[in-house]
Amino acid sequence: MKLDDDWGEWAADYRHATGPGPDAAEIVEKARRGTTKQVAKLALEIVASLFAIVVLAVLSAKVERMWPLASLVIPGVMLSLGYSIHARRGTWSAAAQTVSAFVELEWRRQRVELTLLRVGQVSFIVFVTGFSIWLPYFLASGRERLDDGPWFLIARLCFAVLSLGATWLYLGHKVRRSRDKLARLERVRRSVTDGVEPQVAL
Amino acid sequence: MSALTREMTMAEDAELRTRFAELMGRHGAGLRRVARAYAARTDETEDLLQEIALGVWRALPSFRGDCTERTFVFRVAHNRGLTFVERRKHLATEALDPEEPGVGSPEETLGDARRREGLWRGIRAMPPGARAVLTLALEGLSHAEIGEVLGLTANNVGVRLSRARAELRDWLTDQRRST
Repeated sequence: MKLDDDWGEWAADYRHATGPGPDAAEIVEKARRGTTKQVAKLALEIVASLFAIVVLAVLSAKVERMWPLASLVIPGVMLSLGYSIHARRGTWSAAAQTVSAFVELEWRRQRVELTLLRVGQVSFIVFVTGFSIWLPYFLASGRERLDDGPWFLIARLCFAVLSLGATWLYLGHKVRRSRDKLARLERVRRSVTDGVEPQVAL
Repeated sequence: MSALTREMTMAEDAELRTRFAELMGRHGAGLRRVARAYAARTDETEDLLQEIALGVWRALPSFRGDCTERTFVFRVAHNRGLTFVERRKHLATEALDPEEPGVGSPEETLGDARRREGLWRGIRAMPPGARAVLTLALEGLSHAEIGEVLGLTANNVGVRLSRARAELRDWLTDQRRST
């Protein structure tokens, strides 16, 4: 059988597959629910972050000590958040309205996400190292309440070690997942954009 | 918001909904086929079809008619399909579920059903890029239209399509030999 004969049969077989299209009203409703959910989630995240900052400030024995730290931490968090949104979600767009441009954009976003996660891992190490250096001075300065006994302190240290360990494992898992996703995206990208100039606008 | 602005927004929204319903009516079957080219199982096909339709609805306000309606709809569909492929670790080459529409209807023979099932499996076995070119061509889009959807030149589409056709033919021949 010739290739053209095959093609006619394939096209007929392909188009033979029919079925109901999506329910337009249901899709519109689903999109509306999705938007509401996203807005609610974002609002909750902002409120939770503000609440955490306020609680930390209130619980601190000397509130005024918080402000120099906060003046450094808050802009840092904002910068990181802004960069994260810029890189992962929002401000990059495909330069052309084509599938190749879309795949290229997704690949770039994923690459940046992996970089951000690795930066997170390094920051975590820096934080833990800094905290470990600072901890003996903090304990020696007598500000820590030792009247609860050494067991209480040991329990707290164990809790800190466990939670830091869990955070490290979680970060590692996120990096591995992101790396796998990037590899899969790379395969799709190579298959789709092979020989096509990358099109991404910043 | 003034009453006039509100009225205008509501009218625009109603117009958009009508346009969307018309698009789904015209291209619903084609979108279902795209979903089947990327997902083997019926439940996955349905999920992907919903995702594609959601994508079309979200992209519709930005559609200014700078390409045909058909290329716009299929571009969104393939974007979603490729995202689906990227999320999956393995290729979707399993057999179709028996209740899948078009297969197992009384008027067709078992041989027809098997041949069609084989074609779908073959399509899903193709690499994502070849699969997109192949399905768009099988849908009846011209080389220029496929190029517009994928961001390729018509010549490049021609080269890729003949390569994909040869690959599919080999795959189907191998399958026939092995059964």
